[in-house]
Amino acid sequence: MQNLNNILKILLENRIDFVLIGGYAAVLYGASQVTQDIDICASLNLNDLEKLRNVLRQLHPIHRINPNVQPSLDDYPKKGDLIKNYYLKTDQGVLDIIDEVISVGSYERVRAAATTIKLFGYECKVISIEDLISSKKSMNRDKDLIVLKELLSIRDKKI
Amino acid sequence: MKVAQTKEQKKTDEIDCSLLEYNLTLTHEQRLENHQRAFELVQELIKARDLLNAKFK
Repeated sequence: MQNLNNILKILLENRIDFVLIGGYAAVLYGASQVTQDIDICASLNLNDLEKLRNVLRQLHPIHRINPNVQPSLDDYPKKGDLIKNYYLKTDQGVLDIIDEVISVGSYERVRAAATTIKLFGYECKVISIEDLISSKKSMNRDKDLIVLKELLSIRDKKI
Repeated sequence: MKVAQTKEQKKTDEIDCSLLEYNLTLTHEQRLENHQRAFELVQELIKARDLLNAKFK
């Protein structure tokens, strides 16, 4: 059975520099919606990408966007090349890595406002609730609207 | 009657406030553990749906 917490633990144990965003961050703030993946925001230069490849190799990550062509993270992008976003399928579940959050900004911007939470014995950076609300507002999908209502209630303690 | 009024007061559009209240009593790790259990249930339901769809194709 896939376990999204195992992905998070591996990233934390190996000191990958990232900020947890998306539905999983909403769960940490107390939202009740089930999310099917882990989303992180990270700065991915060549060194970061190599570190990520080494750390994630045990989870056999493949790119999942094109159902007909799903290269492994080791094979794509080629050594020395970079791509902006990584939409991966791993043995433990789906992991999306992006370098900016729509309506919020770059990794540096997201990181600067992030909250730090102790998780599994490590410090985990989580997108601030204000930035998470901004990103959910910009998405305009039904599932995001429910999470948005939950986050607004949690932030304003209208519960 | 009093209970019903309280529930009504806490009812917000389409969200279950009692679930949020409960979640906020948990630690962050407990929230993730609960989410994982719900995630596994969803995965099982998806598998069952796919099996059912295959059966009727």
